[in-house]
Amino acid sequence: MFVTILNKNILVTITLLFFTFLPLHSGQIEDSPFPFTHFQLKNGLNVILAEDYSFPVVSVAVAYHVGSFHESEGKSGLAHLLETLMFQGSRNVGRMQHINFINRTGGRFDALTTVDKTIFHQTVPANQLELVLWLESDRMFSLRITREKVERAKQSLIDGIRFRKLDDPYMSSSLYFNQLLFGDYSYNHPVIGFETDLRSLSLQDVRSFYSNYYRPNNSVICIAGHIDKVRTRELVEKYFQSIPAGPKLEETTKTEFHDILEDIHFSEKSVPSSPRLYIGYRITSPYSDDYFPMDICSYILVKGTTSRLYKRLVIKERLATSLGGGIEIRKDRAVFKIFVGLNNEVNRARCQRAVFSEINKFISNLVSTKELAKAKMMLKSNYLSKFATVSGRAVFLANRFLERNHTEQVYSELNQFLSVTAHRIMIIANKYFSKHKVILDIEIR
Amino acid sequence: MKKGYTFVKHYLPGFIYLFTVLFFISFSFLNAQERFRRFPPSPQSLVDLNLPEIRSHKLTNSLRLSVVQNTQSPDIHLQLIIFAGESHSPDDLPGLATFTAHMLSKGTSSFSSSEFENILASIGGRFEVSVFSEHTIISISFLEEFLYEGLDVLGKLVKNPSFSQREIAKLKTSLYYNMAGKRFDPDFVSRRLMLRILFQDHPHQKITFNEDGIKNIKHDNVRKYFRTFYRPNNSHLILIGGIDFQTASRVVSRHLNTWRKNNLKYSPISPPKPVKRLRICLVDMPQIDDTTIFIGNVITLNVPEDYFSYSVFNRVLGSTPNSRIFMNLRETKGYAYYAFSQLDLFNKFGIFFIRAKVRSDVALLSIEEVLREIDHVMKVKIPSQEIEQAKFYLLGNFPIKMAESRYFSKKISEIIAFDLGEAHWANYYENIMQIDSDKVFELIKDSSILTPTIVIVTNANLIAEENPFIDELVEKFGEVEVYNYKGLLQYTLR
Repeated sequence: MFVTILNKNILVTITLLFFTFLPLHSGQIEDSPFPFTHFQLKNGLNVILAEDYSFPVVSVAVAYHVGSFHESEGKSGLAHLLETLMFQGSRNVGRMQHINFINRTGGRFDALTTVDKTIFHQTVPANQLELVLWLESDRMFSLRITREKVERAKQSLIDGIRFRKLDDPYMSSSLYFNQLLFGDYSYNHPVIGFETDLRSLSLQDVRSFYSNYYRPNNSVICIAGHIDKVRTRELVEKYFQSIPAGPKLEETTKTEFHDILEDIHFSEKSVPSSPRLYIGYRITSPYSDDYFPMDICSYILVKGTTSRLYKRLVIKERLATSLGGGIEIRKDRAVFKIFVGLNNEVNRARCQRAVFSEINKFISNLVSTKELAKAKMMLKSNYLSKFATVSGRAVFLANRFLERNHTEQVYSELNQFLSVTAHRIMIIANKYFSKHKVILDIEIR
Repeated sequence: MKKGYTFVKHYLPGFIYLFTVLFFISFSFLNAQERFRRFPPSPQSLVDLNLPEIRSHKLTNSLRLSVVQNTQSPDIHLQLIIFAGESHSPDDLPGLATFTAHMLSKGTSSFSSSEFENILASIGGRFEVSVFSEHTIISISFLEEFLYEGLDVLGKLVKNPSFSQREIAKLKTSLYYNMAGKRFDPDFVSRRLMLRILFQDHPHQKITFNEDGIKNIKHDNVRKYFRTFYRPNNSHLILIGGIDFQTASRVVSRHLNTWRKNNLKYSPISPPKPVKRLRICLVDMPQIDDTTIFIGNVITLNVPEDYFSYSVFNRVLGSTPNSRIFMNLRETKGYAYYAFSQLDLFNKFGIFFIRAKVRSDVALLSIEEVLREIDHVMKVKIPSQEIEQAKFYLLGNFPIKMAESRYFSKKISEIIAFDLGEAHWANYYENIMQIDSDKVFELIKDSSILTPTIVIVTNANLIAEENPFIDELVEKFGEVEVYNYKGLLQYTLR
């Protein structure tokens, strides 16, 4: 038995050493996904325009490089609070009028705060572009933050946290899982904030957070759809050029994401039914060379009903009712998560063994050409669907610009996924799935 | 002293004046803003909506094909419409149409169910079935470069499904539990009961089947339904994607021309009639805290214009957060979490309904408010300005929806399944523009929406502790029918 294991390990090591010296990328190179132009105003606002005349529709995403990452300890929830306040009125736009203006045109809007981004997004008929620019520039220029508005927004967010606590029995254990997995406070505290922190936020906290981060030099505006580029540039300059830049913000340098020193295994009895198993690995930083094969791994292992773990846990052994997971990015850190919805508590240990046995098989054998091609096509379909509409395109560009600080590599991104080889997957999977992990058992209380 | 006095007398007023002027100048400077920031800009003129043409062709086996070239999407969307739905299920086997449609993905003579999933994933594909009263849609979408593979898969699904006993047994279990899982979903239960009552004694009622129906379906039933209705001469294939008409026709013909037709003959189903008396139907759901209300009726659509008039009316009454019902029930009264109206299109008729989730202690007041809003809109003509705002909204919203592939595909399938004609799509702006206050008033003043079926899903115990809700309902409406979650009448309170 020992000899067999030894031989297998030697074989894997030799294989890995051999393939380490193969070129990292090879394969099909594809054209750019869609055209766009990028320029910067004098006040530092980045502007990206993408023309598309399929429908008389225009989509505008204004994204600020701010999120929960930028909140200091004790001030959690600030970015999310600001997202709410951005709809509570500015100098020339009354409370909730932003939403009413968009609704009346037949348009749509949404807003999202993440660890390092806050995105305001609206899609309107093409003839209403100027209205959106007027609305967005007014709240970037002159948001009206009063004590009354802040208190009302705080209460609304606190109610939201309480509702989620009641509604989501997995919330507290998920939070602890993320704390262990992501490490530092800046990365691991919840975007919605903690109730005690929200209560203690002062008017001054909110105002200075706004004046530091919600400035043109800390944001990007992406406009996609039925636009005339020259006219659109004029309009953007008209509404945004005179907004003063904010203070120069210090560039946050990439922090070291150390390996977990030993497996962390903990359990929590917190749910009335539907027990779960969470497993998490720290992996490489987003968009690094290792990131692309790791994302392909997620399609092979956990995504969809044809993934290896789904077939084994849900279909073949019927140990689980659901399976999810994949890569989660928080600023410059990324983790690989596996979520298993268990059939019952009795099979928990068996299910966990099955997961690790599949992972071991995965890292010990080359993925077949057919399976790799399937994973790539699933990824390609998902990737292309992100910008299949002008609405998706504006948000995609905003995200990529803030994540990567430029847009050039958007052109090559898909190719980086599609050129991943089976050998590269084996190397990378071994590198990260052999490391220590966090395991959380969510049990029935 | 005198000098000081002289200074005060001669210079102080000047200083005060100067200070005041400087104060106002600096204040107005600090407060200044460009003029264009003060008011919202006027919209530019509406940009023309040039929707792609729907080009059609008939294959030698009578399969109709429509191709819509849409270069924006990276995918090819295939929608195969079978002109048979739940209304065509046998009376003793409601649910058979749905079951048969789901069986299509469970294997063919060429590949098993799990192999089908692998093939689909390999072409970046998705598969979906939707079963309606009079038609069924089989949808497959996949990456554009896999046109041949995608059509090959579709061809095999409709030509040689295996309907294995094992897969039938598996699907019975999964569909049963899927439907049983919705028994505590107030929205699902309310909507199903509303349709069950509106379609009483009509073939469409079979669309409201419950999980019990699934148990009785047998292998032979599935085969027979499939052999009868899944025929090229009873189908219409829609292809949407960046493929030109000639290429699409050629490739579709190659893969589907060998699909054999039959001598299918069945008479069309006439639309159901609107219900003429108001009915109150209650479902007691002890697990819930809030009350879900559905209020609706069948509406007749005599001419194409009626659809557009109802669309404008729907916007005024309740389709958005700026509409009357939402503003009243949520914003003004604070009764509702949401309250919207909706128009669902069927073949030659529609269902117009209001759906709301309200606080249980104000459930009766909420129903009264909705009925008052409906009554008001039927008696007092909607002001022209409000009609114009509604049209403005619809003209803006339509291209936004069409820019999303799921709405785009849905609209095209509606046009074909309900035989709406291409003008419904191509002349959307003109169709909306011609609606005015008089047209809406003429249409709705004698409409059936004032005698709706009202479905209330609530926790009767919760309500009984706080107010005599059910007694008040009986007192106000004379009769309350009490149903179980499956939509079966338990008793009537008078």
